[in-house]
Amino acid sequence: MNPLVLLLSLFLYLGLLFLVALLGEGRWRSLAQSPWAYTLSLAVYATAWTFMGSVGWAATEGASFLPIYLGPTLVLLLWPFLQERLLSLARAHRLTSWADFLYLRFGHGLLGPLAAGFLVVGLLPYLALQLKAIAQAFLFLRGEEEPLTDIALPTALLLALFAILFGTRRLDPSERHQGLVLAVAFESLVKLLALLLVGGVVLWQLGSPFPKLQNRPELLSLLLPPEGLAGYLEWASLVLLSGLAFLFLPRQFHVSVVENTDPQHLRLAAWAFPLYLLLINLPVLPLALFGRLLLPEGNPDLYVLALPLELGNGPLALLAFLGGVSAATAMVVVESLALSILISNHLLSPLLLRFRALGSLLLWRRISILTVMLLAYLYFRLAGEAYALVAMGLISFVAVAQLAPAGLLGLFWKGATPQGALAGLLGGIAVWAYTLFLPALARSGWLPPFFLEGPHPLLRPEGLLGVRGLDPVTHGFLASLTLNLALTLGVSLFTRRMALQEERTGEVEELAALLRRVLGPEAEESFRHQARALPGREAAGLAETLLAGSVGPATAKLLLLSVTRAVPPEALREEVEEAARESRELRAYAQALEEARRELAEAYERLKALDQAKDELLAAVSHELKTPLTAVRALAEILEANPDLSEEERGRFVSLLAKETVRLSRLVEEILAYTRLQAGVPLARSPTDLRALAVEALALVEPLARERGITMESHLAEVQTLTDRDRVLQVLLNLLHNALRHARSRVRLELLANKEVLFRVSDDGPGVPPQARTLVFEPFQSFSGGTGLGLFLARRLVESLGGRIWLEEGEGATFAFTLPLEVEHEDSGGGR
Amino acid sequence: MKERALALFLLALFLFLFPVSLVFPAPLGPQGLPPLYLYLYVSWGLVVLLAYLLFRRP
Repeated sequence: MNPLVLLLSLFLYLGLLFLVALLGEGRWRSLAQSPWAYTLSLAVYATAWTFMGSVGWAATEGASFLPIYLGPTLVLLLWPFLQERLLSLARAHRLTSWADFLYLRFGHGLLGPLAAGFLVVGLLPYLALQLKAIAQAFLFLRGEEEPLTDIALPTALLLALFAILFGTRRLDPSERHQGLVLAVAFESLVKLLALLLVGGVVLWQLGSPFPKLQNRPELLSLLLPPEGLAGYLEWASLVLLSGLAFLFLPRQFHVSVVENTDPQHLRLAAWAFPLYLLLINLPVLPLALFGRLLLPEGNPDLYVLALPLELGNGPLALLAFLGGVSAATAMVVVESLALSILISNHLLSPLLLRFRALGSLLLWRRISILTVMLLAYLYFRLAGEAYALVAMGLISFVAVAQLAPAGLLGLFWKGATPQGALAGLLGGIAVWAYTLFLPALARSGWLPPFFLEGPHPLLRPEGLLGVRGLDPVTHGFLASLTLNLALTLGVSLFTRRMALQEERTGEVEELAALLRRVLGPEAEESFRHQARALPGREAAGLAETLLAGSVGPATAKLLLLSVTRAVPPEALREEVEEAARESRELRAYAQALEEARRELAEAYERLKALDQAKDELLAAVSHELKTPLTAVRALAEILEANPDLSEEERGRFVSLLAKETVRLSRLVEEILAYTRLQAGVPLARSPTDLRALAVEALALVEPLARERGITMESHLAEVQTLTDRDRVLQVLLNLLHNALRHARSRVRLELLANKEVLFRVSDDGPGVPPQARTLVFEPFQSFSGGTGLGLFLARRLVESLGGRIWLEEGEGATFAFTLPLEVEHEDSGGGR
Repeated sequence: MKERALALFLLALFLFLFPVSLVFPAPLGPQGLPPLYLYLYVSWGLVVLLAYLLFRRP
C-alpha cells in the first residue's frame, strides 16, 4: 500500500480524533457525559490485543482468547457490590487510582508508592504491546517488515502528545477530561465497526470457514474445548485474571471511576459493555480460521490486515489498520495518563514537595507521560520481539491482579491491616517478577537462560514446586495470587490495625491561600464557595480532598500540615464526655435514691409515731370520756332511783351533771381542734386587734374565775397584726383555762409588743414539777386531771402561726408565747 | 436488586466455567458449526439479555 496514503490516512484519523476531543470539551460536553459515552469509554479495555492479538491467539490456541472478555462480563454483573461502592468512595475522597484507595484505606506510607511504581513497571509490556501493534501494522501495509522499532518511536511520541494535550491541560482536582472520554468512546465505535466490517466482508466473500476444515484436520483442534485439568485450570484462571484486570487496570479505574459523572450510568454499562465485547469477538474465530487456511505462513497477529489484502480489498485493509490504531491509541493515551497521575501523586509529588518544586506539577505530569511512553518503547526494543501480543498483555494483567487481595479485602473486610496489605503486595510482586517478568526478559535474550531454569528444579520460574504442564501465565498468576492472598490474610490476622490518623483543623483563609498556591485561583474560588459555612475541621477535610485529587493523598496531607493543627479525635472526645455525663447522672441518681430512701424511712417513722399517737389518743380519749360519762350516768341513775330526794340534794346532783357535761363538751372541742390541726386546715389570716382579742378571752373565762374565786389581772398593749384570729383566741383560752385550773388566787395576762408579739399567762399555783417540765407540751400528759391536750394544742397552734411557746422559770407557772408582727409565709399545716 | 444481580452473576459463572469438554467432545456439530463456540456465544448472549432485563430501569 502506498505509504503516503497510509500516512495521510493516519494523520487524518488522528486529526479527527483531536476534533472529537475538542468538541467533547466544548459543544458536545453533554454527549461526553451521557451513559452511552461512558459505556463506550469502558471499551478502552479492548486494545490492539483484542483487535489483532485475539485473532492471532484464536488462530494458534483456539477458544482460550474468550475468557479475557468473559471475566469483565462477570465483574460488571457485580456492579451493585463493587463499582457502586468504589464510585461513592472515589467521589467522597477524590480517588484517582487504586493506589489512592490503598493509601486511604490502610494509611501506610509505603503502599501508595509501591503500588504506583509496580504498576508502571508491570504495565510497560502492555504499552509496548500497543506500540508494537501499530508499528507492525504500519510496516506490514507498507510492505516492509524491518526495522519495526523505527516507526514505533514516532508513534509513541505522537500518542504522548495526544495524552498531554487532552489529559494535562490544567490541574483539575476532579481529574475529569470530557474531551478524552468522547475521543475514547469514538475510538471504541471505530474499532468495533472496523472489526465487524472486516469479518462481515471476509465471511461474505469466502463463506463459512467450518466446512473447509474437513480438509485440514490439524485445525480442528482449534474448535475443541481446553483439554484435561490443566486446560480447564487455564480457562478458569483466565476468566478470573481478566476479571481482576478489568477491575484493577489503571486505565479502567480512570474511565470507569474517575471520569464517571453519574453512578446510574453503570446500569447501562452492565449489559451494554458485555454486549460490546460479545460483538467485537464475533468475527475473531472466522478470521483466525481463514487466516490459517489462506495464509499459513503469515503472522497470525496480522490476519486482520492480511485477509482484506488477500481479497484485494485495499480500503478494507486501511479501515482495519485504522481500527487497530484506534484500539491502540485509546489504550495508550488513557493508560499513560492514568500512570502519569499515579507517578505524580505517589512518586513525584512527595519528592517535589521536599525540594519545594511543587509549583511545576503540571510540567512534571507531562514529563511523566513522555517518560512512560519512552520506557514502553524501551521495553519494546528490549523484550518486545520475544512474545506474541497476547503473551505480553497477559504479563501485565498478572501484574495488575496483584492489587486485588489488598484492594478487595480492603473494601469488604475490616480486619485487613496495612502490614497484611504490604506483605501480600510484596510477596505477589516478587513471585510475579520471578515467574513472569524475568523469564520474559530471558526469552528476549536480555537476561541469561538461568532466569528460565532457576537455581533448583523445584524453583524453576515457570514450574514452581515441580508443577508441570501449566501454561507459564496461568502458573505465574496462580502462584503469585495465592501467595499474595495468603500473606494478606495471614499477616492481617496476626497484626493489629494502626490507629486512625489524627484529624486536622484550620482557618479557611490559610487553606484557601494554600489551594491558590498549589492548584490556582479557580480551585481557591471553588474552595471558598464550598467552605463558606463549614467549621475549621470540615474545611480542612475539604481542602485535603481537593488537594488529594491533584497531588495525591500523601502529598495533600503533608501540605496541610503547615496550615492546620491537630484536633482531638472527635469520637474519643465524645465518648469521654458521654461517659463523664453518664457517671455524673449515675451519681446524682444514686444520691437522689439515697435521699428518697432516707425520706421514706423518716416518713415511715413518722407514720409509725402517728399511728402510735393515734392509738394513744384513742385510749386517752376513751379514758377521758369515760370519767365524765360514768359520772353523768351515775348521777342520772341516782336521780332516777331516788324520786324523793330533797330539793337541795337534787339541785346539787343536777349541778354536778351540768359540770360533767361541760367537761365533756370541752373534751370534745379539744379533740375536734386537734383533728382539725392534724387535717391541715389552712390559716385564715386577717388584720387582728390582739388587745381586743385578749380582752375577749378574759371575758370568756371570767365566769370560771369568778366561780373559783380567782382574780384576773391583765396588762395589755395595743397591738395589730396579720394572723388567724380564731387560733390565737384558742391558744389564749387554753392557757387561761390551764392557769385557772392551777391558780390559788390570781391569774395574769400580759400582752407586749417589740419586734414580735409576746403573750404571757401566769398563775400563783404550785407550778410544774421539774420532772414534768420537758413533757408539759406533749399530748395527753395531764398532771391535774385535764385532757392533756390543751398545752399540746397550744404549741401546735402557735407554731402554725409562726411563733413559739415555752414555759418560763419562776414561782407558779408562767407560759409565754410569741407571734410575728407580720405573718405572711407560715406553714398552714402547723405540724412538725 | 442486589440479590438478583448476585444470582445472575452465579448463573453466568456457572455457564462460563462449565467443563464443556464433557459435553462437546467433537469439534463440529450437526450444522457444521463448532458446538463449543455456539454454547459460549449463546450463553454470553443469554447473560447479556438477562442483564438488560435486570438493569434497564432504575
